[in-house]
Amino acid sequence: MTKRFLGICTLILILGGSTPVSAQTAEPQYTYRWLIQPALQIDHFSRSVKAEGEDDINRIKSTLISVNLGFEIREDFILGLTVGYSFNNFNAITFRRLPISLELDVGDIGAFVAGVDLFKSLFHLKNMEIDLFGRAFYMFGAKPVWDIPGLSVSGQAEGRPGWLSVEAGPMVTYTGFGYFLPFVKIGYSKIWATFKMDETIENLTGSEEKKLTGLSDLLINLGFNYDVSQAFTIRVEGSLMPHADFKDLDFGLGFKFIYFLN
Amino acid sequence: MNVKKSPLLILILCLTVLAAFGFTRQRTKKQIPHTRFVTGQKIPTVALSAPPSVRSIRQSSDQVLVKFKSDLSIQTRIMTLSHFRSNVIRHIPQIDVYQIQIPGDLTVDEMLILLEQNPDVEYAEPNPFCYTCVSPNDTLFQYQYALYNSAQSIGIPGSPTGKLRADIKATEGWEETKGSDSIVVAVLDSGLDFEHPDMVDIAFSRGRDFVNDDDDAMDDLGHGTYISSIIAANSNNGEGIAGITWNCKILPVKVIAEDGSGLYVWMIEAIIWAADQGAHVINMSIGGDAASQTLEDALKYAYQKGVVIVASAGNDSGLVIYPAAYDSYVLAVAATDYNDTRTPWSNSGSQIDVAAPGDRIIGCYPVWALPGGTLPYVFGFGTSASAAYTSGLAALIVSIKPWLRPNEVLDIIRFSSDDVNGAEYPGFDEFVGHGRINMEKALVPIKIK
Repeated sequence: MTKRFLGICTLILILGGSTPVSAQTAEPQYTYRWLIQPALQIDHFSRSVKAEGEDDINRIKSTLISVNLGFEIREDFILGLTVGYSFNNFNAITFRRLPISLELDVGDIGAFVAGVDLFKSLFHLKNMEIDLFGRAFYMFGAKPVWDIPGLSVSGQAEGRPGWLSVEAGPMVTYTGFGYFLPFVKIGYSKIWATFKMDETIENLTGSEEKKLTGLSDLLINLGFNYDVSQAFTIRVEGSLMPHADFKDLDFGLGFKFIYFLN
Repeated sequence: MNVKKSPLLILILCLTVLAAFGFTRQRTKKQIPHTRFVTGQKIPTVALSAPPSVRSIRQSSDQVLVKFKSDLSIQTRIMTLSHFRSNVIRHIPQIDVYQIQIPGDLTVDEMLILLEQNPDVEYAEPNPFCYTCVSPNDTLFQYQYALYNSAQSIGIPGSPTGKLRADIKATEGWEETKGSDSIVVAVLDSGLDFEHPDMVDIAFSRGRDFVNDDDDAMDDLGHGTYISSIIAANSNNGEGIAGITWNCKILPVKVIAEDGSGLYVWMIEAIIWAADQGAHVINMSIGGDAASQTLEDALKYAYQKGVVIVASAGNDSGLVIYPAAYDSYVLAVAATDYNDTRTPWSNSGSQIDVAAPGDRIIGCYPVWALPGGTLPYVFGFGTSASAAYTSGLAALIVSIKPWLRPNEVLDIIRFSSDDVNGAEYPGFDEFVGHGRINMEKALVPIKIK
């Protein structure tokens, strides 16, 4: 999963690098001063996941608090980097390949998150702005240890969870209301997660790694930007992610407080 | 005269002392195995209501078990046995041990001395009898204390009131699995009543009868049927009792004769045979008081083939019997009662791994063995029943986790047990080992918080 995240980062950087090159070729005299957009983000999602070869459907719920630094490296092209902390709930995920089976009921697991995002404005059509967006978040670094209750001897379980969430697609923003800019995104959204659990009960040891894949691929996101001032914008957005069989929905919420340094 | 007689008296006294010393040394040397056996057990001094067993070891009077050194040719072995005027009854190739018929003019002890003096012999030992660990408690047997008085609490069936949830949590365990029909539990016992109405189609095959040397392990005693029913009686069928596994199969292996005893060599061959047949679990609600290298070799053979071996600890308030006492390969099971209390007759020792209910346990019994009009079920007691419950649990674990090795299955059973006597003996102890088995914790995912 780390490799997948690094691959996505590389792809975004390549995209970020290649787009201005063509612009430079088209407009050789054009010079642009980088704009920096620091932001505070709060995100929450609940995603259904399923392990390979299993029937059980579990949910990963996560709340992320992060700071985002957006670099407007070309006009209408913003590349952002995110770091932060997350609270992740993997409850009910069950490890039946361990010698003594375990089920997570541990509540939130704290872990670091890192992310990259990009935004590219494509064109304007009357009061409509057509853009491209992409975002990837990677949760990592947690290694919690729990006691296994109820045994005749002491035993411990050590978890190593992680997830990677990716979303990308077109975005349409209505600009006719002035400071209030509603938008809709429709695109691809996916989450992959792993959870490795090591069990040690005296000489009895075992290890199991769950590879979990999200059940939803489609993202329908509604939100708005509200320009409080020239330098400060609030973004609120909500996401619906129907499962491939359309029998259930995942959802997400996001708040972003953006400051424009000029 | 006194002066003259004094040296003679002194000489006689010296000879007497030397003879006594020599005799004592000789006795001590001969008793080494027994002494080691006793001291190794850590005889408990508390919580036993009866003294350790003083039962003498019964053994075949005309047979011994012999293992030659592995580099000895077959011809030399035959010549050696001819020299001793002994006939080979059978050879167990997997562990290279011979069951020998000794000449009529020699005792077993004399034969063993002769064999042990031969440098080509790795070891030679008697062929003892094993016996069942449960005394079936039919409607009258509970009153027949003259036949078997173990100081057990005797009551009319149904009269005791147990403590709430002092059980092995079977209903919770069944939520996770009721067992797989591909998992086979070999029951080394008196066979199986294939016609019992509550045990239809539970047999993997007609099994093997080592007592009569044929391929039909029909039960002519009842004990094997009783034990097999605890493990795998037809369940959820609207009649009778439920087995601990609903779907696993029984491989009946007859090693106990109609009189309730059997030769070690039958048990030894049965262990090897069951392992070779692909049994996943071997239940031995039987045992004997004698240690046997051959028996240990057979257990090792099965264990190394991936078989989980469970055996009863014994019911005479004494030391753990064999094969349960072979700690490296066998899970030794003691008995608890309906209050989660260790039964006073359950054997104890450092080899005890876990305990399971063994008092007033209902099980199937052959129809032919009961009076007409009686339901074919009896109440019994003993660590036999305890071992059967534990074997059933082992089969359920193997059903859902067939990749586990025997030692892992045994550890799961040990570590998931409830320390029911923890208030008095916290942690592992010689009476219930790690505790009374718990199917829920062994099978159902434990929530970590």
